[in-house]
Amino acid sequence: MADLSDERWKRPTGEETRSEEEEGPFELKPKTINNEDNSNPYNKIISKDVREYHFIVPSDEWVELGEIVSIHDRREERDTTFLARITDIRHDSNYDGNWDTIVRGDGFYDTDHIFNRVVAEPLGCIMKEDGGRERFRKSRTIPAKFSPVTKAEKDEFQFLVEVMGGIEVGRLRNGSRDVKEIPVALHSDAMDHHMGVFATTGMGKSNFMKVFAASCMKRASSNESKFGLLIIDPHGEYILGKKGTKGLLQLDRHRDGIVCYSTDPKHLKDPLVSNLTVKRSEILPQDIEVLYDWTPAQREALEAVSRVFYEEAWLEDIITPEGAAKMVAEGFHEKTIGRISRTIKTILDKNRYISDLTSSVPGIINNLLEGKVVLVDIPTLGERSELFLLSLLSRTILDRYKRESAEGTRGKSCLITVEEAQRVLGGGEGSLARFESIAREGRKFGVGLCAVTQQPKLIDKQLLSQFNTLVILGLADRNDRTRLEESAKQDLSSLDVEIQTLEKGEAIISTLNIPFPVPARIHLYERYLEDLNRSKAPVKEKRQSRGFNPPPD
Amino acid sequence: MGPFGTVPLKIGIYLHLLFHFEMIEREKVAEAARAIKEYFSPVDPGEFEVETGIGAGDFREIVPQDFDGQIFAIDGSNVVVFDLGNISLNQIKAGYVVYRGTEWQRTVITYDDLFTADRENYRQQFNRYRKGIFGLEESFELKSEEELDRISTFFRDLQEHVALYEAAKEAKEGDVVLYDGGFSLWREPYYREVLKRIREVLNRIFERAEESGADLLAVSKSSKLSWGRGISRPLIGSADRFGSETVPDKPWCVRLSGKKVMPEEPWHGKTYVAKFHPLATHAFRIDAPDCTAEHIDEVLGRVAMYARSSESLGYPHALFRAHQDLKIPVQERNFNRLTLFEGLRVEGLTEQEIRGALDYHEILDGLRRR
Ligand SMILES: Nc1ncnc2c1ncn2[C@@H]1O[C@H](COP(=O)(O)OP(=O)(O)O)[C@@H](O)[C@H]1O
Ligand SMILES: [Mg+2]
Repeated sequence: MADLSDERWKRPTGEETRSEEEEGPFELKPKTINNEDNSNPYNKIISKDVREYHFIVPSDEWVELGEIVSIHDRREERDTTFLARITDIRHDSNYDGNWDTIVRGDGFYDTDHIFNRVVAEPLGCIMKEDGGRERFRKSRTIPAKFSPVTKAEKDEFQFLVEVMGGIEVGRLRNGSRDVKEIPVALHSDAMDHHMGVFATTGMGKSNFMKVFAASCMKRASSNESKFGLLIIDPHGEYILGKKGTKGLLQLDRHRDGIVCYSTDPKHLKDPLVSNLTVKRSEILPQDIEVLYDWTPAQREALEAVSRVFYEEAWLEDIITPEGAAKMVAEGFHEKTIGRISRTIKTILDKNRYISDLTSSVPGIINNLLEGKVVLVDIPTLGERSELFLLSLLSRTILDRYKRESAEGTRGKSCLITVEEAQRVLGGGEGSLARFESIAREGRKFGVGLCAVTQQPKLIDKQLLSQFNTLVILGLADRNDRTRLEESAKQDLSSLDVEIQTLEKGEAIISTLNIPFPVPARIHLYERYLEDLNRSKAPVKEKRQSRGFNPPPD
Repeated sequence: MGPFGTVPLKIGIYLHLLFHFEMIEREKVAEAARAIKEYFSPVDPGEFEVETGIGAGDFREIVPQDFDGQIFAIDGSNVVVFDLGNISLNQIKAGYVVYRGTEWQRTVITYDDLFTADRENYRQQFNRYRKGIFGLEESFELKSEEELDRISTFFRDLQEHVALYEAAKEAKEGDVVLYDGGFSLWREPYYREVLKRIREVLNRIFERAEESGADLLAVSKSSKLSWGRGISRPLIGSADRFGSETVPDKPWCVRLSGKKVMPEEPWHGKTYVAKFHPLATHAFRIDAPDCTAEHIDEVLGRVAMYARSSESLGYPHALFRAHQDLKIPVQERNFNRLTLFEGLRVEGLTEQEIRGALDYHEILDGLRRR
């Protein structure tokens, strides 16, 4: 472009320009443009606005969706690095029209005029504060035109280390490359704001849960835990692993961070594992109410139970002839009562852990209040029993937490894991009112839900919007992704293709305190286990230094 | 653009023909159509040979030949940024591109600046380059009104010649240097004096290329060369038709110099018509200085070898790229214009004065004057 500072333009009125003598020796100053230096058009911001940055790369250069690039704004007044995530890659060229479909002759010579346009979404910018400290914030402007673009390296991600929490689950991932130096870790404070773990089967949900639980055990064993984690495992896959994988009890170094209750005699050999029992007297009519499709009459009868019997003895009483007579006297049909007692007999029969004398329930809750990981291993029970137990435990937990919160004596908060969560959080019929109420108000009492599901599309939108931490692994179904995008606190819509193309163990994590949805590679549990068992002194959780996105209150 | 008043059509430029039928009598249009039809009517080989001295035997096949050297291609452009009648402000760009085979190596911009076309003070700007680059002492003087109108075009030609000289200097033995324009053809309305000054520059360039051992070719699609009695017909177009029938499905060339149609040769070179690819849309006029003309078949073979890109089939690709890389984008021109207005404002001119001066001339001259 012409240089307008040329002195000739200061006098455009035809005044004699400077004489030759003054100009000094003649010198031509040609400018050369080639492909090797800064004069090429690649990897420079050329467009477009505050929501979308564009740059071009040679057609043969490999770039991938999800990669994070850094943009160095060289404007003097600011020393700023913008970060942006690649959301699209398109064919582009300097030619108009149908030039590419009428290839003639020997083909195209000027491949530098045919390139790929890369679209990236701004994540924010890193600015130097007074005193040289770097601060990351959302950007309110665009990088200067032609600012150079490079793949972001570990130095540019350093700020992330400071916003991470204490529960490590993986490493930062840039495209398909790992950034080994930057761990991805969740914040303990975010846990009673509920967490969701979503993945198509086989993409790594169970592995994630084990890694997560292992990190919780680690914190508990060093007395740094801020919440208890309850896992009810109907598949028996967490305790010792299954199909060649390892389990939580194999984390020798931090075994003091976990307690286990099991119905499987094989697992009881380990001294850390106690026999799971529930006292008959702990079961309330509403716990069995959730289990079957009762008729309205039966439901009514169940609701009346607490009026008719002593609360603690109703279960034994109602199945006796005297008990049945009492209910009939209350105006309920004999058949209705008959059905109820038969069902109760079946429950008692199938759930051998229901006993007259002992109960694991108070112990489970105490351990949660202490911030431990509590694993309830029930591989021998069927689905109804699992739901029954889940319902009973979450009710007792919620009651206890409510009470202790009111009294001001509550211990650590807790996170209740719900596997196949679409079964109980679907909204409408068939979902469990109890989980819905935990999702809505559990936070007040320090009770959070960790919903694990392969079908987020079946989870109620409003409930899903209560989840402040989303761990999204590969999701093949578009409806699943759409549901998450609609309900997420952070904008995920531009990540759709990326989520679709996530591979095993690759995740996008959107959570409180971390300023943008972070691409992560979840540790493989077996490897993480080895590392933890080998490592020396536990690292303290960093105090959360800067309130980025403070949790809403 | 060629230096001597010819207006070669450039590949990649769309021509918009606007016919204002309402304003012209129907009969006049019909008459024009008949004349145009005549102009495009088939070439009778006999008549063509009688009138031009070129027969079927004069057309020779070009055999494309690969070579290790580089191809240089020179081009330039200018746009009016601001026109005040006796002074106009132009942006001018000139330079060259360098290829090795099908691979672009670099683009060198030898001039990219604003130029004031000032009737009073232009000499000094010309002489600075004439002396600085070519070592020529004689002052560059324009005589006629028309020449004065074309100061900025002459200056751009000079800058293209500077670029050509620099390319000839950089070129090595066996390289080919292509110029978008012509080396021959000096005709009215220019005074001999002006032509002499330009001739001096070209001779320096020829010498320099010969010193480097590089070959020089000027490539243009002239619309001025014609033949025929009564209605004059385009020589290049007719030669194209005749040649493509005579040497079918192959690139070919034909020499014009020394034939009846181009008897006198007031410069040290030869002129040809060449078609570089049988599927090319155009044949081109080629001017070659004598030392290149000596082995013209070989040089044209090298050029034809690299006139086969999909971007510009049948046109030397390096020239295509030179055109792209050295044209001034309209945004750039507008940016300079706005910056200039800003400067005028700083100098104390009011918005109205600026607009007033501008609108008057732009209405008269047309906004897209080049
Ligand atoms: N983070 C990971 N890194 C490497 N491989 C993984 C990871 N997560 C899961 N896998 C692999 O995928 C398999 C299935 O994972 P799993 O957690 O059982 O999936 P899901 O519970 O979603 O069905 C695992 O056995 C393991 O081989
Ligand atoms: Mg699983």
